[in-house]
Amino acid sequence: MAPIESVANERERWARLGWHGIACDVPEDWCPGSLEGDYASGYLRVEDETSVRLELRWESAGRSVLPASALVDNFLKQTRKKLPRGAPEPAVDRGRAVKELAGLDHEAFTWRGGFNAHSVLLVEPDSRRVVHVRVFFGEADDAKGQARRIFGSLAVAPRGGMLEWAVFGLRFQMPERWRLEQSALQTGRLQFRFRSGSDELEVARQSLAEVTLRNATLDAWFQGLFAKSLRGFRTASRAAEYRGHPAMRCGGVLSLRARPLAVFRRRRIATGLAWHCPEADKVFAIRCDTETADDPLADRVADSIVCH
Amino acid sequence: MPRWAVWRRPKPLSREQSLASVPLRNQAVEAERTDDGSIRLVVPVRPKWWARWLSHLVYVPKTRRIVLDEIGSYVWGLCDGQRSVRDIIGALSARYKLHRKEAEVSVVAYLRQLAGRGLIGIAVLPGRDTPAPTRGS
Repeated sequence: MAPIESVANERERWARLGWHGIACDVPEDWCPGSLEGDYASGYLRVEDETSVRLELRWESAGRSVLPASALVDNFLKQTRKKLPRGAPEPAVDRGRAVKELAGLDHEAFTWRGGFNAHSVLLVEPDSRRVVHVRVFFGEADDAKGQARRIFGSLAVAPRGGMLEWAVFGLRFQMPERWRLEQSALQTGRLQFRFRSGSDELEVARQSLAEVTLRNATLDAWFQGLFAKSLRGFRTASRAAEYRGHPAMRCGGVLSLRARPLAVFRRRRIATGLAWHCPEADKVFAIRCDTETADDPLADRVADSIVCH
Repeated sequence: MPRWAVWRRPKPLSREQSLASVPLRNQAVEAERTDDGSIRLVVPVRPKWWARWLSHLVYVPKTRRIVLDEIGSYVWGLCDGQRSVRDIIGALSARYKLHRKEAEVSVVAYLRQLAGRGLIGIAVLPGRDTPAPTRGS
């Protein structure tokens, strides 16, 4: 297979995008427009100011995993069927490879006709997921350099047992067995709740930190943000320092007075960490609810956050 | 234009057009700065017929006051008829270190709210695919 030529424009600024363990670089002015699905299957759309620029689809391959070339055959067949009657025959340039994805069963191809897109379809053997990335381009610019960089930076497998998450500038890593249960992508606040069995972990980022902390302490903000999750826990907070930033740590156990029936369950321990990064004007927070005391998980996730 | 006149409604703007449009403050609205630096808008109220009638009996204020928060005041200050929505988004994201998309969502929602209350007008610059003005609009 012939490699895709050309390199991305080095002057362009890039950002990382990662969702359910699939991550790649995208130009900084491209933003997620739609995020759907779960670890097994889902869809992510990235847009620039004018149009859709990238689509990412992933789905569980099931028991019998077809080779990438057969999956591309199916995709092209289905896409041709959707073309309007009388539309000119699309030009498809197939059988290309991405150097950085060597070792993975994949195929890169370009479709011109109806829409124009550079695509790569790959099969990830461990998670048995089929991942299809499409980078759309217009008539004037074929975006080959951008597609090359995006495909080259594609990561679909955990590294060191950690999955990469990156959206709207918030980057962190989670252990691979943890699954996203709920997410809130609001203006000024991003919040993700992960679950693994009965254990729970939340990651949050609050923008406009100076405005937020003008009328509330870091501890009060933390307790307010996680009020529902911390209900029933007898917690104690203390001021701390994290990466040279003002921070707070809290810990506590589930109160039997508040939840008498918890006596029949294993002891639940809550840990929390929040810090204010003035350079980024953001507050980051981690809340963890596990069965083990002194669980290093919260710190491990916090360490992976790129704060400024 | 009445709400039911669907055929006379102008076509919705594209994202590119709405980002290139220029918000302009309503000249009838007075802005005064409060002690904490935020802006208070004094909006003249045109009373309805029943309010005019009621004003003979009870006091009906002729103006309405709206106090903007810090960020709202900052965006209000940028609606000078020179800067486009895109410029305002850029300024807000730079000042408060917001992701561009975060700034865009909040600025667009806020401007829509201001325009809905008649506090600002939005000038749409004629572009390639600007909808043609309809008769009477």
